[in-house]
Amino acid sequence: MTQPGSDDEIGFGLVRTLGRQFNGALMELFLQRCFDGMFTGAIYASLALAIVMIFRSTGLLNFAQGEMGLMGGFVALTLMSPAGSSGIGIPIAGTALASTWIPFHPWPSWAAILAAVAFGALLGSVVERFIMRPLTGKSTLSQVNVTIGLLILINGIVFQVWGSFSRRVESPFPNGKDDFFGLFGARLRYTTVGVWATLIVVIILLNLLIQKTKTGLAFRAITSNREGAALVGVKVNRTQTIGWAIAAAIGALAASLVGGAITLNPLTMLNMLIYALAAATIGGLDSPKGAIAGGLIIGLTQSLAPPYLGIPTELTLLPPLAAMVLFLIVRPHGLFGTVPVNRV
Amino acid sequence: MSKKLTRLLAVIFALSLVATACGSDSVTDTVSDTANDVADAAGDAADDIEEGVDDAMDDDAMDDDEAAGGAVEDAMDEEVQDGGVVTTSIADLEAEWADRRAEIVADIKAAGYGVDGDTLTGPGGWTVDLSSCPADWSDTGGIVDGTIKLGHTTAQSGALASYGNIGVGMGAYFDYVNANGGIGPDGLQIDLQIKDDAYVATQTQELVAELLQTEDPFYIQTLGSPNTFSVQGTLNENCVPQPMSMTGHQAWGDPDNNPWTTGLQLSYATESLLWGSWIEANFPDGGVNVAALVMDNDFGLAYEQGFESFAEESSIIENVEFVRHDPAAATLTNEMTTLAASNPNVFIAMTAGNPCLLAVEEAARTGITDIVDAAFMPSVCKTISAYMSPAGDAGDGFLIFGGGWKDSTDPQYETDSYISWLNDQIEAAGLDTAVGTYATGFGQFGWPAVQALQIAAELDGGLSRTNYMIALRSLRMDHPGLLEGIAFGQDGSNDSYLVEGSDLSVYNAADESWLIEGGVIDLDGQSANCAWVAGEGC
Repeated sequence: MTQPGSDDEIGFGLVRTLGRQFNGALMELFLQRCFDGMFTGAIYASLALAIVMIFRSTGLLNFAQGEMGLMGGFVALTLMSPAGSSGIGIPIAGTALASTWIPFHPWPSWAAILAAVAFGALLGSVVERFIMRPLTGKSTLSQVNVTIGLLILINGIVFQVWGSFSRRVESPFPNGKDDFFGLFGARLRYTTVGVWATLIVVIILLNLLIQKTKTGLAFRAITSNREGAALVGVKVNRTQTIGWAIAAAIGALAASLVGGAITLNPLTMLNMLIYALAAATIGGLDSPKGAIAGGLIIGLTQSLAPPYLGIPTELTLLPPLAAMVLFLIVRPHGLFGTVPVNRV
Repeated sequence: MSKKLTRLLAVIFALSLVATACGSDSVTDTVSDTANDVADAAGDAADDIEEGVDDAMDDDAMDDDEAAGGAVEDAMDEEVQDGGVVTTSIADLEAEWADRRAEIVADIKAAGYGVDGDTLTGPGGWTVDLSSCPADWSDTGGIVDGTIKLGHTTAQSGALASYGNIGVGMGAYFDYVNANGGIGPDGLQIDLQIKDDAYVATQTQELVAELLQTEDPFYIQTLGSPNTFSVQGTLNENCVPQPMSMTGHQAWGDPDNNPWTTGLQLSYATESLLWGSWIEANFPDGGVNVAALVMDNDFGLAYEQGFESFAEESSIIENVEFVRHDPAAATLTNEMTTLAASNPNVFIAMTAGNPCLLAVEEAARTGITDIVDAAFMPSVCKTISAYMSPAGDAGDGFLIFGGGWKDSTDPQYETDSYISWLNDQIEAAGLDTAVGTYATGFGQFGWPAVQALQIAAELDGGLSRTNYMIALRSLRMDHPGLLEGIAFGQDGSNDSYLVEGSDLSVYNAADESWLIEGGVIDLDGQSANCAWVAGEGC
């Protein structure tokens, strides 16, 4: 067994690298770790994207973003799962009701996920209209605190309704043990490709919305100067409702994809929140493409740093946070974030 | 210019990661100095158990030509008994239990166990100095107005929240007992108070302190190794029983230093040695590489230390790759890729809760199950409905030393009269029989808790904490939830582990069932006590 304190345990990877050559097995493992990083990075990026959208439209960090998405994910699970217990599995709450009232239940996974996205949009709108809007004018700290309260509330609801067990959401992409592209001995999962393809489509649509529509212009105006935007005729409330709806819809999409790629339980999105926040910070809190880049960086850092820098795997949180700190020092507004302009 | 510079720095950072990646020639082992120290210390205590395993497994029965992953029944000694279903009616079982309790009561009285002055005496030379108990301590604490207040801390939220249903199931059994005569001749009613610690040890400490200050429960039962450790000292100092802790850490078998604490299930150290013995029996040519996924807390490290102790002495096991994971990890992809890269012959998951399911799925996706000859799940991941069924085909062929318990959701026990009755009662309590952890609480933990209470209530002086501990330390009955051939009992300081046997089962995904391979193995009375010292082990 490898002895503690040996060169293999303590990271001198960079030094060793300079004096060694590639070989097949190393390349295969390195490539596999990169694919792993892309896989987890896609998951983080999807949630980071939702966080960025809220920040873009309101200037707020929404800590409940993951939980709002989680509820959407469980809605997708309910819509795509048959009623009652199939054999020995624990029945999923709501499926019996859904089979009675919802036509063609259980739905195919893609339809269930689309419905979850719609549900997420509705949930986001409701939260904005009845919880966040009354807080307009209050301090940012107060509003952020409310989002933390929402996180706890929604998590509790999900826990009570759907229970504590991990659930397998039917993935819209093939996700069996043999569903991968074999590249130089490494496995690039269809799920990884599928999630990234979905994210690219989403980012294109978001960019079109932000760059080519009045709503996108309104987002930028509100983030920059809320009062000024209102004075020039921007419909602030309506724009913020749209922002919350879009963000929650993306969150629901993220949770559905996560549930298909791994599993879904009441803690899934909470566990990912810190990584997603790190991703959004690295990419730039107001930049959708930054969220994608940040997610990828966090995912790759998490998969590459422990084995090659000798960081214990149980400290999986350390590399992403270290990367975030590094970026905050070097580039506080993130890779693609808007540089604040102060007029004097 | 500065924008380009910062982007350049970011690129350099990323490239440095890439560059360092190319230079590592092996996957690093995460075993810490502390873990090694503990493993060394644990080695001596483990030897005794290992001898028992060797005795119970007949090497002659092994097929030398058979690689691991083949028929496991050959690994079992001819002397062990087959597991079987119970066909006796519940009424007859209740009568048998009552008769057996009466025998234990008679034995205790005949032996003169009890309190004499400041000394509590029990079986096997077990004694407790009661003079060190708090001045306001009461032997009948928690018994108020015909009610026995029992405390239970558990994880009803957090990563191991699925285990929280155990307490709910146990409560359902207590309700059944309350409705059918209660405890003892006075028909005392059990009032179980469940507190959610979210599997966070500091919360367990707060909750136990609160319970002691407010309710003063008759006993407090804890779930989880770190959680049980965190309050073991407090409860023993306060002379409050901490019975049948819901964790398999070997440290609960320490009747002399922690007289008020007991475990119940197969200890993780014994389970680790069963894995090792199985490997030695099935890989006679040696050179075995083992990949172990370890949950990074007291629970996972107990497995790691136990198995490492065995591996260090083994001439068959060449290398063990331990990779630890954060208990709250959202994915295990990176950890499993690291394990797959070690090119193992055997994979062992040393984890619990939701990571059980992730481990099964990632073992398939990373190709580990294609590489290895055998893959093991730990006994705590046996629940089919929560961990194996959701994994689908990925779980097919996994092996388990399952601790000897019948899974109430397993179709093969549909004809078992006790399991059938148990499921009926769970359903009558308004709980879902598909959730196997309810049955775990109802039968595995609830049943012996009540047996010990009933015995204690019949002893001189009636139900008291000291009588309860004597009853628990003297308990030896046929647990209806255990497979036939696995003993359930302890004997004071001589034997401090209630369950020391196990089945070896293989998971059949098509039938969603753990199929017992061969018979069962029982090491009753062969596990040495463990005076656990943090950082040193037993």
